[in-house]
Amino acid sequence: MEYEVVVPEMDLPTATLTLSGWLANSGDQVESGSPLCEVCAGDILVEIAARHEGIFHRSLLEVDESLTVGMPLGVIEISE
Amino acid sequence: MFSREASKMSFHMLGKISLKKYLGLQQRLVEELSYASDRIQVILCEHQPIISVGRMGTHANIRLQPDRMRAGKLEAQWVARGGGCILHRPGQLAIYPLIPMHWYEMTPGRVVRLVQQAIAEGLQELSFTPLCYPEDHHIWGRTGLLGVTAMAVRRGVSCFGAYLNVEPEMRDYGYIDAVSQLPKDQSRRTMSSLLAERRQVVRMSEVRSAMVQAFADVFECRDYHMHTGHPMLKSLSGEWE
Repeated sequence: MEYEVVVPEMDLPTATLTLSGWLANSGDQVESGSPLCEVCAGDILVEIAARHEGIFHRSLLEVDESLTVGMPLGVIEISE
Repeated sequence: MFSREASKMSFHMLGKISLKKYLGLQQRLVEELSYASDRIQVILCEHQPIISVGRMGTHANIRLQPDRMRAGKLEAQWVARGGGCILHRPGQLAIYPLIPMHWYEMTPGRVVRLVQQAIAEGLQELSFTPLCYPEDHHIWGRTGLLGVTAMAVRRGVSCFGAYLNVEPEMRDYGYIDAVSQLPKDQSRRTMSSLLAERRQVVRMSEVRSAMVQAFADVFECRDYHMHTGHPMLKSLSGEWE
């Protein structure tokens, strides 16, 4: 089973969102709460954390790339 | 306004503390608050001279020559927060609200708006009405930028905060661009101060008191605790000195 990790709603309608950095690599075993990446929304930097335990596979997005709410950041593969 | 009946807050007055040591404390506090805490902790302090650079900042925002940086014993430290380059000095009030956001069901946007609102209300208590613009979360005046909001969310806890120039020595501030975008009727990216704005003595102690009351009001906390120092500071090892 796979869970998609997406850019969450930040409640910052005028902010430009950018991928500030990856905190986990593809293939990493992550736990719920493990940091995956950072999204910069102008005045605030938001750490995106895993909500499930499993193997993280990040998307092909590059650091400094522009993001929109709901955009996929990767998937967490959960073993059955 | 808040999903819980009333918020719980404690304010910690640290006096002057190096940015590095504060970052050590913040790291510990984020870890502690991320484990089902319902208490908002607000740290108020002043930092020794240093330039912190957030994710929106670049070397181009620091227009000080290297020899002037050395003479002023200034160094740039990259930090994991939003916002750009901020020069810290005694006389600038650093306000760090560490909020367990999951407990209060707050979004990043709401956090920065409430922080801006609290600072604006605190200044109004001091009979000064700042300018706030919808396109950013900073505090402006007739002479320019008075306070900068630059935050982060880590493990569901807000960290970093806002920096309000009360009466710092203004040397070098004109060489540090603190913001990248200007509101329509502002012309300077560098910071001014409350002293320059009001042209009369502004006491740090009065500003601190006004901010405590304003944050308690904005975060709807009727019963808060105030402390001098922070018990966790004693346990920080030498690496944070």
